[in-house]
Amino acid sequence: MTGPVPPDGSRPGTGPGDDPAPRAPRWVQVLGVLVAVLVLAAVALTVLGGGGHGPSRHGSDQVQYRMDGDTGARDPARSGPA
Amino acid sequence: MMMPPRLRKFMLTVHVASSVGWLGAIGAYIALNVPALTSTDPQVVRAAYLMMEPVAWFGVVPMALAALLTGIVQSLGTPWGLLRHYWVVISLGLTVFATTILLLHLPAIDSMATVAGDPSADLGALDGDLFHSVGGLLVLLVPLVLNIYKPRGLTRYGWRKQQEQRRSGRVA
Repeated sequence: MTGPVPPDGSRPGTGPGDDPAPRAPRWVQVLGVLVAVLVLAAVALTVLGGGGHGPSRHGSDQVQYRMDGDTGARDPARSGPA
Repeated sequence: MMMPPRLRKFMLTVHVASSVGWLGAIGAYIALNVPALTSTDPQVVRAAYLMMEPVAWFGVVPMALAALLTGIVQSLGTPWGLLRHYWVVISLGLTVFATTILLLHLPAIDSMATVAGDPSADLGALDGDLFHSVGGLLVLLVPLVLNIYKPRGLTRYGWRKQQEQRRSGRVA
């Protein structure tokens, strides 16, 4: 990615005494790779897990889902009246 | 606009307190997941889910918004800037991301409490809330580390600003 070129055709940072344009430091690159891996893992889990988690879970749909109670009790010890 | 030193110190204190408070509130929320997921006493399970709601609304959310707001003020009011250094930009991005997910997740927390408060509801339909809380905690550990270590690295914007300042310094 390059910045805008001034009217005189020179690029900032290439004149005498100017510092060279910086590249992203190593730690930023490593962090970027880690984030990309985590995002891919989350997407893979969502797809492989049958879409049990995702943005659709954050909304009013879930209220209906919860209130229906149609998911079945996985732990009988915790089911039933209080 | 640069803040005077006293105001800067005060804002830093508020920012650190709210950021650490956010982590602490998430810790309390995670702790409530333990009885919610492991207790065999339905009363304890219901109580845990019911308490998650006020902890989220009156503990996690205010601290999150305070940490985000004071972080923005702190960066804009100091030479660090908001977009000049990678560690500030990444911290801001992760904080905005975590806050957004938190706000979007609040209806789900409310619905869990609604189910828990209904004596006729099936508690087996509730499966805790560890994914978001532990995930959020892990995400927020990154800004915590970045804010303490402040690793070097100018963004392109920060580099351009630095060059402009040097040029204006030479001219003056």
